[in-house]
Amino acid sequence: MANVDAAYGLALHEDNSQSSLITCVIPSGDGTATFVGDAVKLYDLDSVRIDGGPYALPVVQAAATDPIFGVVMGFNQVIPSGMDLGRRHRPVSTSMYCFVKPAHPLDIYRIQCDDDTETIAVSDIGSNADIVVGSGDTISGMSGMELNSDTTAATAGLQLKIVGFVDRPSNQVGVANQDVLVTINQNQAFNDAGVAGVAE
Amino acid sequence: MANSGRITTGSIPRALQMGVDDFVNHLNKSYQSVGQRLFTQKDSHGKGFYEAVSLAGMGEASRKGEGSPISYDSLDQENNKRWTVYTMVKAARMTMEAIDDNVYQDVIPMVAKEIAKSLVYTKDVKRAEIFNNAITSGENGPDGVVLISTSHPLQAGGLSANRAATDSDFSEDALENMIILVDGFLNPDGLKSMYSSKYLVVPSALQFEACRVLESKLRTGTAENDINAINSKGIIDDYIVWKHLSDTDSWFLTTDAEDSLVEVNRKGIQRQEHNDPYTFDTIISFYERYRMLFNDWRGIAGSFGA
Repeated sequence: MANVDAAYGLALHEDNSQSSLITCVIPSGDGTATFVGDAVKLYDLDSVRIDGGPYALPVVQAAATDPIFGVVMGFNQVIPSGMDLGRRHRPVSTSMYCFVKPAHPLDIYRIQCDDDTETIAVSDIGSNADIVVGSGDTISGMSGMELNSDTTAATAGLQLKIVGFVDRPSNQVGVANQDVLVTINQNQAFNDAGVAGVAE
Repeated sequence: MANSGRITTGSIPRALQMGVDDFVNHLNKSYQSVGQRLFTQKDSHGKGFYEAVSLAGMGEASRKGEGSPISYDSLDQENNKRWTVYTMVKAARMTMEAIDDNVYQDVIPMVAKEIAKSLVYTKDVKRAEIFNNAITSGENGPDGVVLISTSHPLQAGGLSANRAATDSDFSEDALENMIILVDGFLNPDGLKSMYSSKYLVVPSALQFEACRVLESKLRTGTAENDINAINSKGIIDDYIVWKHLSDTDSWFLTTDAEDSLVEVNRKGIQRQEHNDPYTFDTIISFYERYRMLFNDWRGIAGSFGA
């Protein structure tokens, strides 16, 4: 049975760190739409206050190969101008607070594999891989990020570490678009360079 | 399903402001556990696993000749298998703001209802997995063979089958042949089993054909006025349409073998709710512990389409 091809970014699967969310801000200077489930990185943009809120850490959507600061759990849509409670994402060039789960080596996330030219197999558990950034969904607000199955390797400098497969009846292991469990390997708070994995 | 790990004010942003007339939550038709009728409920007796031993009884009696010694038979363990009980969980963590600022409804009971729905649904999918994986290599039962096979080994020697040598698409003839196949099941001791056909189980795609074949008084698809023997004899109790069967041309016939398809319930749905003092988040978690399994292949016969 084929897996459903529906990217959703990084979804918190095991909150082993039990860490709280951090309110961050994506300043309007960033021109990339950002979605729930997107990995984000700290970025050199001036922080901004929104509606008397705090000067929060500025973040933007992480690209493939970028060390990760955390994962967006949601956005604060209540802003003085341009408020649209019908959406769940952050449109381009809009200053908006977001709730970020800081990357922690203990936390486990699930993510869909793109499985385009190489399909993740059981032998890939323990190896590292990068994300591939796809277009988010402006209707559901969900991220388009997936695990780039072509990048699996033992190399330390890869963003995610594959630690297993999602044990759900509808998730077919070894079949395209499977959901895998990952930890964040290149972590801006703990270890920018990442830790080597095992060979695929 | 595919959501972040926290429910924040950004999860249902429209709930923060008056003006919405309705939230469509798809809960008005809650999921019914279709497969529950097919599985016998068992208890693991406080253990984290369930183990069953299949016994091979005695074969046919033998005639004793005059002055000849009596012959003996024995009761033997045919096979056994231990199945680990699974723990299935679903939880949600809501920020205090997401609860407080929702101007329409109390989020907590809504989330609890969603979680309960999820667990009930998943349990039925796990039941259907037994059927969907019935010929999947490696998904073996206590006899070391997949659930539906042409060659189940018997303790008495030889083989017995709950799958025809050639699979057939569902039809009246094919169903008659499968009923005959069930009648030919052999017990571990080599004797014919007394199990009878009970339920026809079909995917959605075959529901109309199943209805015609079972409910018609005359034979289906023929110009003759022959009676529909399956209907006339009342062999099949009912037919069950199961959306979770993944193969659109697979179909199954269950029997009245009670210890075959088994649902081991270690613990029913348990609900926990607490508040995190550091974030004021509310955490609702549900879990239940069970395992779907098959002790014996004689509870089912099947075909996976021509």
